[in-house]
Amino acid sequence: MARMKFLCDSERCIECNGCVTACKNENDVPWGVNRRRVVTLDDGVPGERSISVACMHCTDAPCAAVCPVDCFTTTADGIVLHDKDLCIGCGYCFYACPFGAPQYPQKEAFGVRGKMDKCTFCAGGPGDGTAEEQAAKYGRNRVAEGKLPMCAEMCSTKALLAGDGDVVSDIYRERVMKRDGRPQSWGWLAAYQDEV
Amino acid sequence: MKTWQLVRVLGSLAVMALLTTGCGRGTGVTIYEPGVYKGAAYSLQSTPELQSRLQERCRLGQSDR
Repeated sequence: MARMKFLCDSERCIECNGCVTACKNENDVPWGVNRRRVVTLDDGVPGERSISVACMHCTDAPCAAVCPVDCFTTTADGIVLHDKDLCIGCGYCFYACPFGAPQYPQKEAFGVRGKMDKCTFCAGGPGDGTAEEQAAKYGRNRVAEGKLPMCAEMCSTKALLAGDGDVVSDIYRERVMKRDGRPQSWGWLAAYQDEV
Repeated sequence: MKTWQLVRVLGSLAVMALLTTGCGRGTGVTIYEPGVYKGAAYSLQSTPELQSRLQERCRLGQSDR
């Protein structure tokens, strides 16, 4: 059985935020909620690195462990989903998540939180209902159509990889071998290719 | 030491012990175990055909050309 995983190649990420835009557009994510975001370390300094972060669909998901209403489930493909009909928006999962993936839309005044929203690996959510109802609640179900998450498919530099963990690791391993241990983003070879 | 002095000292120690109870910080880690999922079932079945489609799409779309 596959285990769906994300991997962001920090040597390739150019902080374009295309993945963030693609996610918001595809899943019609409301303002204030970011299922995915780009984090940059040492911004503006030579050697800066950016990575795209969202729910990592952990094997032993801490959000599921702390949820007081047990609304998290892991699909057969290793995608961590939650039932919004059960979620009470308590925020425990936000405290537990090391990536800050759970998001809470502000539904009312005075900072009242709505039900938690997070990356679904573009695999929809649990429960029955029409495709439109499911899409409105959880976002598009691209996996059912044989497609991968929109963020990864839209990544212009192919920094963000998504799919079966075995395939993703094969692709990444080939890249690292081709790089010969050197980063691709800096140095003479990046600018002048073979003319040095 | 007279008896009443001993009682006073012991009483003071008992009061101090009661007052400082619970002031320490535990070093143990709380480990939570996930409960049983109570939500609706996830309807999409993971078939071998779907798996191979996704794997092929990943190889074609995300590897370098």
